[in-house]
Amino acid sequence: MHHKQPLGNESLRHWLRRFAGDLKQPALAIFAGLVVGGMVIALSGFHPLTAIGSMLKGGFGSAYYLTTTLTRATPIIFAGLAAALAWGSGYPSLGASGQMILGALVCSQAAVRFTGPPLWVITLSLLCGMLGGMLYSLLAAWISDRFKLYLLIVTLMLNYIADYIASYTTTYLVKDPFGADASAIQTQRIESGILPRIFTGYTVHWGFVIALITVIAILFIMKKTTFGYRARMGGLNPRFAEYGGINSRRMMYGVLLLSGALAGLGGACEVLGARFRYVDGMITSPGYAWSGIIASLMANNHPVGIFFSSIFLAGLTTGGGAIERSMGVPSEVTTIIQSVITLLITARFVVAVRKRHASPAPYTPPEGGDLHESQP
Amino acid sequence: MKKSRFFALSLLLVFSIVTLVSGCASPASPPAPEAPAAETAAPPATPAASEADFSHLKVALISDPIGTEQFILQAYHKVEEMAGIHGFQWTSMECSDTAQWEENGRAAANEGYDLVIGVGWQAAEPFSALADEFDHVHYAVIDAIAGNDKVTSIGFNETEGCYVLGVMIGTAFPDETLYGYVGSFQTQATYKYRYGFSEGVKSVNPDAEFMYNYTNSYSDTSLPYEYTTQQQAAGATFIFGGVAASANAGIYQAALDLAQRGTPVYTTGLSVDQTTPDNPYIIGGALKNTGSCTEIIISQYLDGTLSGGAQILGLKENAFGVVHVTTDTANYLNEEMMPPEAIEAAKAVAAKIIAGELEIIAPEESAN
Repeated sequence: MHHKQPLGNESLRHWLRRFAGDLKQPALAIFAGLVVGGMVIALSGFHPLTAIGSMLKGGFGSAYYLTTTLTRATPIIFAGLAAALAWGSGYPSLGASGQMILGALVCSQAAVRFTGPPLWVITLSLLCGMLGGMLYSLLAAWISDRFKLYLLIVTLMLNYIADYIASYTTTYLVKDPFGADASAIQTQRIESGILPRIFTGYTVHWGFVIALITVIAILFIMKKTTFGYRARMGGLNPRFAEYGGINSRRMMYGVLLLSGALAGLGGACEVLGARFRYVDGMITSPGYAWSGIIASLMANNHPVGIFFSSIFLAGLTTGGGAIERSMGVPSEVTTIIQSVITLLITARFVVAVRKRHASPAPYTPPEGGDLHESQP
Repeated sequence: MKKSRFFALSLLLVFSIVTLVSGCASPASPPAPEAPAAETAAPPATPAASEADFSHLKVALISDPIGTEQFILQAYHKVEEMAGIHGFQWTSMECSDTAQWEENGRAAANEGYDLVIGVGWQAAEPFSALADEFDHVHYAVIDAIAGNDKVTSIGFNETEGCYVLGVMIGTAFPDETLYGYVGSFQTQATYKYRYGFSEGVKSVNPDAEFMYNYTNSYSDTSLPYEYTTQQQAAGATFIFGGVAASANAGIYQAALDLAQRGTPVYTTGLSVDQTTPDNPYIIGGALKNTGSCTEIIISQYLDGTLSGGAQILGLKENAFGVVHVTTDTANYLNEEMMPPEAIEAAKAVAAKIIAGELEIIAPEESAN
């Protein structure tokens, strides 16, 4: 036990150095992404610096653009937190997409059926959405545990099943009976019990505030509770965690249930705050869950980092729309930039894994299933 | 240390290449012709040609990614053409995901656009909400009826067009007892196609029977394929391709495969002219002319006569047409299966409908 150090010059400098070290990789990846994006812009006959400038301006440059970006960032933050919790604890799950879909669908049905004061309906519907995501995550955890299958594959495949379940339900069971337009495959519109907008005239809604609170809550859970400590230990070194007496099976269920609840909450907020109903494909088409995974990769699973990287990724998309409107640059440039960032950040993980394998004590998966293996 | 220097150097290299490429490429290479990128401001037309100055006007066209999608390209080219004549500014916004319909519609209002035209049913709902928020912007939707009366909605009179197509098919296949039909969703919107087509066939061949199947998807191509082979096995030689312009591909492929097995079926296209020498089994089709709709919206806007609410356009406005009947040319005409007398019969009926002598109105499906 050593005494607590005052926040002196030394520790501040140390902290700053660590902070800069943490930021180096994502900053380089973003820079490289923008450079490659600029190349593509240049090849399509536009000036790259002007285009990237307008892109950043169109994503963050005014109150209107910034709030549009924050609206799009909200579901990405939830998906990012869900991914970070699972990956950071050594249970790599790609299931955020499916959990968000079911969270959104369940929430949309709860919100049109419950009656009462708006706050009551909102709370209940959000809880139902969380429950939806949680149960679906539980299914993935159980399949992986019971049949000793890779969690990564199970969660990935269950995403498609969730999408088709939602598609079927929306087409046949709960299709909007009042819609003027019969072509849209969507559920009934939620009239009361929607998340209000924070500022009038801008789309950003209270779901963003819920996301911010969730970021702080997850930060607290991971840093200040035994659950968080055990989860982090499991992520850093599963064998050490087992040796230290942590029940890895129970941890897996706990982590994945919480992760599913976060994803479900993200889907529910998108329904109550932005779309006011479940629309077929509303989660998969914008790729919220995948952007969330990229966001958590960029932030190295740190909740606060995810908050900012999600906003950055959302800003790229809104900015991509802006340069298409103003300059005619195809908005697909956004996808290219995102892909380059993902590629470079994933490369870091590969390097880390190879380093570990090259070390004198080779890593061997624990007996009976190797759920931890793909986690560096 | 060495590694990071290598990385920094390679980045520098890449960056210098970019600047070089951009410096050389931009003046030399003209914009790629196949990329339907938007031109922000068309050069103003000669002032003498247009009676009023519309150069301050801004028009936005919102759609799915355009690519080679004829349904959207017709509208795109019409806006481009009219901008050249009247000198207004315009842009095209392509929505790469479903959330962008609302985002782009909202951004258009914030960026000072006066008229926002959405091509496709996806625009109906977001535009209805936006029209209430932005009073100074006029929103218009093509191919859907928006719930909000502030939005101008252009719907198509599918019933009369499909009736003409039905007459054509009934005349071309007079000895058939069973006619097939593969559609997307069983709704009132698609019932107009089904009713028009069936009534048209029955006007020629009163004893005709029909077989209807729905795929419950606009994109699935395997179910249309299956239904086509099943309807052929049930005795149909003609099958109405009513899923969606793209998903009809399943029917077209089935027609090619069935012909190889010696049991050919014939079908028709949707929305755009889908006849092609590569697939002689597509012998006609129903057309949605988004170009005419766009022209009507913009002309009315420039005249100051554009009001909200629904306008249903059909044969008369050349908004909903039939291949070989309302168009002078087609990609391909299978003269053996689509004889001149069938086309003449269809043209005669179309003329009657345009003259107001014949009215075809689809009842509510549940009423039958």
